[in-house]
Amino acid sequence: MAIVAPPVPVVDAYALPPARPWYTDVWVRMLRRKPLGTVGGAIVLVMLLAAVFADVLTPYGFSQTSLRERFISMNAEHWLGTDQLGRDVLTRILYGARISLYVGLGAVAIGSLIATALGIFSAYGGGRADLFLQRVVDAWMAFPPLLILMSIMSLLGPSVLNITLVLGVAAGIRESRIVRGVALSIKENTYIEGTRALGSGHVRITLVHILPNVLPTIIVVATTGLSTVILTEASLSFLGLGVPPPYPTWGGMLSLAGLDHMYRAPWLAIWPAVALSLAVFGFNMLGDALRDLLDPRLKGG
Amino acid sequence: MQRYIVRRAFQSVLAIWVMSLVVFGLARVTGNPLDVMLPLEAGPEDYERVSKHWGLDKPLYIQYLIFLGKALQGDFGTSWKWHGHSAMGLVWERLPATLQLAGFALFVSVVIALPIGVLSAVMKDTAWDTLAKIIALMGQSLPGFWLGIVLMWIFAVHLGWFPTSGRGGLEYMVLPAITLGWFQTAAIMRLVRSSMLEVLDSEFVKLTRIKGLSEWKVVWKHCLRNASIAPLTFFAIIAGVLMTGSVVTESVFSWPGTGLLVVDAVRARDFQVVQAVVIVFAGIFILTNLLVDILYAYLDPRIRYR
Repeated sequence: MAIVAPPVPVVDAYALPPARPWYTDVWVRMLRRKPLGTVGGAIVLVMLLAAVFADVLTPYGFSQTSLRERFISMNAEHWLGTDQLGRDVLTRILYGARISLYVGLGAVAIGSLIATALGIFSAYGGGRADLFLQRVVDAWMAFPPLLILMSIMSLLGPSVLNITLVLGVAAGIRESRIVRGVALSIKENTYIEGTRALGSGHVRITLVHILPNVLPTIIVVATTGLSTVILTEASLSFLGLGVPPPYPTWGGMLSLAGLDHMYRAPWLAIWPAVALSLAVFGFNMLGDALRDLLDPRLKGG
Repeated sequence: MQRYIVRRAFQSVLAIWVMSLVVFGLARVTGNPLDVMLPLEAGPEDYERVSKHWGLDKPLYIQYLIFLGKALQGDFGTSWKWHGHSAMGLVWERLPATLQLAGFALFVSVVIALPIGVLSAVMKDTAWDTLAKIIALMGQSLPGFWLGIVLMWIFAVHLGWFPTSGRGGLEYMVLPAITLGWFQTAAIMRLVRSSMLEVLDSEFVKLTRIKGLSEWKVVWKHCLRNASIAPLTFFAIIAGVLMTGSVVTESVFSWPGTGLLVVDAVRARDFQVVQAVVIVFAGIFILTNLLVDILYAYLDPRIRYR
């Protein structure tokens, strides 16, 4: 008795809507289905524009002091008032966005590289290397994060480069666990076995077959990681261990001006904090939406 | 079960050992400690004398073994900033204040989060649920130090209901505890909600309803008891968040605990004290993780055989 295969439906490929590559498709689907994610994306976009065009948007310099104009509350010339040295608060917030993004994007780029390399190596290599690396990651995650970052920063000394490096390495180690998990499941697919049978080497398998499939996960982890990095940078700057004083940072503005002059000029504490919360909220929302659209497996984690 | 406990305990010891390496490395890799300790005009013979005194002339692994031996006895040297105090002594002196604040913060956040989480699961997709969701979202976007400053500004400066800083009676604890507990409140709320939703959907809950129990008893007795297992694992993470948060919260409210101590020590580059705090904090963190994992394995047998 012959087994009859069910008839294969003939699909006219030209009748289907043109397939968009996944990286365009994500944005279209987000606009249609994820209102909160769209709001988050808009906030992030505004922050990006503020950071890029800070020089054009404001007539003042970020460290331009004016002792006659100290503690001016909000008016037409200084929309968000001035601080204890007569510097325009709005200007410093705009430039603060630049520093935050600078540190945030830099740290996330470093972190993603480390997470990808460590995660894929650990998952693909397996065996003792995997066991050893994962115990090291375990040990790292056993530290209270802010405390260890504080000690490292105090040793290295506060600077933009140092804080970017430190936050990047910390994020990379933490996120490598997630990348490893995804890479482990991809490694078990039959097409990996197939390509190996065709004679692909380890380098080709990891770079051509595993990496592109891990990429959506990395994007999601990086976006959500960005808010953590920005918040941590603000906390460190607040404690005086992040970005050093001549540069305006949201965390630094809160600590230097906010606490000392709270009775006299409460706006000094409020506006940088609003900017910070909006940025963190924006990146969180964007990251959540991207996660749902790109990699639903990570949901609820 | 015993094998699981032994394996987990071994992992914890390993983590503490790696931590000792990091703490030791931190103070060594960033340059010769003698440069900080000696004045600029010190000659080579001064360097030799002092380095002999502190054991810095020995090979690095010997130095590490000495460090480890002393650390095991709880000896992290004497503080540079607070003269005449041992580093560990300072930490022990300040620890009760931190634990008191953290405990109170945890209590406050559970008291707030549990009922809201349960109610938003029971009343899923209503206005109440949305409100709870917004509160939870804000909890995760607002930096702790900002909340501290705003609370201080409204309730201490403007209304004068609470003191602005320091440690004293219960009224001193209210604002710092809310600041510290804010993040956990949001997280516990979300966790309770999702595990309540799962339990509300299960067969035995239908049975309790068929039995004719009151809705109150179904939700608060039968469901909550089963739904509280999942949030339990979260308490290990909470321990970490509380300790990290204590650093920021204590420096906003000048609460005299270990968090404030470590900020002061870091600013003064007093590494003996920083080392001691890092070890104690990480030790508490690792121990909580271990206890929670064991408790969880006891409650949920599936974990043991993973």
